[in-house]
Amino acid sequence: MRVTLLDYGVGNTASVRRAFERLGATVDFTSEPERVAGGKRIVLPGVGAFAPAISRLRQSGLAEAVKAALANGGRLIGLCLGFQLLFERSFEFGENEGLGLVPGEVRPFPPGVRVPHIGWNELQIESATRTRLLSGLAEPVFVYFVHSFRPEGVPEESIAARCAYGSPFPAAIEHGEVWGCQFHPEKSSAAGSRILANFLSEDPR
Amino acid sequence: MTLAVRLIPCLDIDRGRVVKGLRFQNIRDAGDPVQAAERYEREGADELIFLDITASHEERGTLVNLVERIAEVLSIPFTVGGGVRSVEDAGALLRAGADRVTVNTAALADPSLITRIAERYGSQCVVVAIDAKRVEGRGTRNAGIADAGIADAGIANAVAMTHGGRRESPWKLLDWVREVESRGAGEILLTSVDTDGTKNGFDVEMLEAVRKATTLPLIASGGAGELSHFSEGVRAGADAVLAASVFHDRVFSIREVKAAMRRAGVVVRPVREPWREAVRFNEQGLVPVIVQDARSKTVLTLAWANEEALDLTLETRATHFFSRSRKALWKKGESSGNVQEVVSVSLDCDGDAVLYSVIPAGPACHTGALTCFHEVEALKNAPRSLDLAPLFSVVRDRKENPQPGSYTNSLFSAGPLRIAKKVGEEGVEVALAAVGEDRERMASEIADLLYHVVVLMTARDVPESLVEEELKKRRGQRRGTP
Repeated sequence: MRVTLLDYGVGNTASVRRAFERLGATVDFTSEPERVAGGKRIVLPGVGAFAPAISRLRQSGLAEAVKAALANGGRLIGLCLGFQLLFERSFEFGENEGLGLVPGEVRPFPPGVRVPHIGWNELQIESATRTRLLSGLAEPVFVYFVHSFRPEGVPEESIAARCAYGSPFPAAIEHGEVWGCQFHPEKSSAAGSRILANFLSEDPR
Repeated sequence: MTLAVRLIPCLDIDRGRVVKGLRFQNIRDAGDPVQAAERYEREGADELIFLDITASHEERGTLVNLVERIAEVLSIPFTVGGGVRSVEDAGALLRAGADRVTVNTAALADPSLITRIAERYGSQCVVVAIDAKRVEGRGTRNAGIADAGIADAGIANAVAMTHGGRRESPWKLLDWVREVESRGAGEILLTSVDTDGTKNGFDVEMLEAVRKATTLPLIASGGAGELSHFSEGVRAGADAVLAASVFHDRVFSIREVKAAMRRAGVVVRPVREPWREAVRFNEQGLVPVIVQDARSKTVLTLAWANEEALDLTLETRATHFFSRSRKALWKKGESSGNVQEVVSVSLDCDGDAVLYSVIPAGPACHTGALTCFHEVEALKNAPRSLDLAPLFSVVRDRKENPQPGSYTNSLFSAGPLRIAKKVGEEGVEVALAAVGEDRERMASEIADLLYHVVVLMTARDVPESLVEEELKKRRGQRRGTP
């Protein structure tokens, strides 16, 4: 399986590349919109701040290329900051428009909650949704988080799992072929690699 | 739901190798860090910390190269430290794949280093390692009104140490803790020099004092030697617990420590090895388990396990099953004492059957027979290879429970020299039989020789595995020669 990993100059993406390579995938780490538009499995990584990330995605033409890939039957997964970029807007250091692929807004944790939310926390998997993203995981599932903001107002049917920190927030989403994880599957040991394998998987289970 | 408490094995690194030793003393090579890292992740470590203990500037390249190799195999976060003196040093390690760096001596010399790394890479990347030690005769008993809540004057007077815990810095521990928090540290790794290496437990008093002084996540280090110590560290306020030697020396597995923590009410990420996910339980939630004697290879029992029985077996290394008739969990040997110690677990290729290789303390069958399987019909003489296991077990039994009039016991009493002489004599007899006697006679002499060899091995405590390994090695060496 070929994975298209977006290179838009934010953060350290090597661990994401290595995680897919360990699963036997060929990783195309690229900043060329044409190659992204033709991809079947697109990964939007990201570590850092929302505003510079979204502006780089737009300026480079990658934002449009991602939408083209989805229209061509591709599947997208956003990881950590890449996950937050999928929503309509973010309130991290001012208000910024996101990719708008999934309804919802990225907002800070409520006051009094220690940030960043960093460490291993448990996923509350929505059994009703029966997601492909989180299939085959033996509960309890603990995954590794590092973040200070999280989405709100995400449609119930798109939420694959929540995580309770402060209050429960959407930690994994599956919105058609737009998938995403607030946590770092590439740092979440066996559970994380199962999630990435599910993303690569051809057949819906 | 709170965050899981992290269990962190720590690896001391010197010139690209794992080393063991009590803080700069009796250091010896303990293997390849990349292999150790892989093993720790597989066993369920939540994070790893690598500390370069020599940390000379000339060796920075070696360390960065090692970090790249570790990042290649790990899919859990890891922290690297030792000799980080500048933002550039930190950047090189983070770019190589480390998730966090620790700073220690250089930060005590110039605390702005913490702020500079935090501003460049984020607070979550900066772990301040503090080696602290109680110092006698410093200050007054009530030193520091700020430390009023802390009864112990020793802690109030503890200082942060530099150079691997050998030199005192001018910083009082609790002042330094507050300073690093205000400077933008993301986490504190607190090693008590007073308890490090003692195996008597973490420095609970010190942890409690530091916990009161900061809201930063706190990693407890120094002194873990018993299973109970880990949850004690958590109760004292640690968000993560670290140990080195108990994991290197395989005193405990990570799985055992986590099980003990969970039993003590601590939230931990359960250990789920990839193979464990592959076990396929049937509609009743059970999987068949075949139990085999690790030494004789005799099949002992077929029984059933549910998830709990399987996990308990892995945690305790004693076989546990699920009784379908009583609908209850049971431990083999609970009443009879005939427990089975699991030495390895194998999984069927479809994942729908499990094989335990065990060392049984006694008979497997409730009838008192060694195995639950009793031959009911022999259809053909089974082809066999020579099996010395029953002989070894009888001889071992004689050694442990001497019996009056036993020839074996008379040999043991006479000592290894006498047994060795017998082995020599029997060897000669085998040779003589080989040139002048029939096969039956030869077999009888060979049996005598093997018996005396087994007695000699038992007398001199040469384990069978040692001979087996030796034979295996030779098989490798001879490969390809006619």
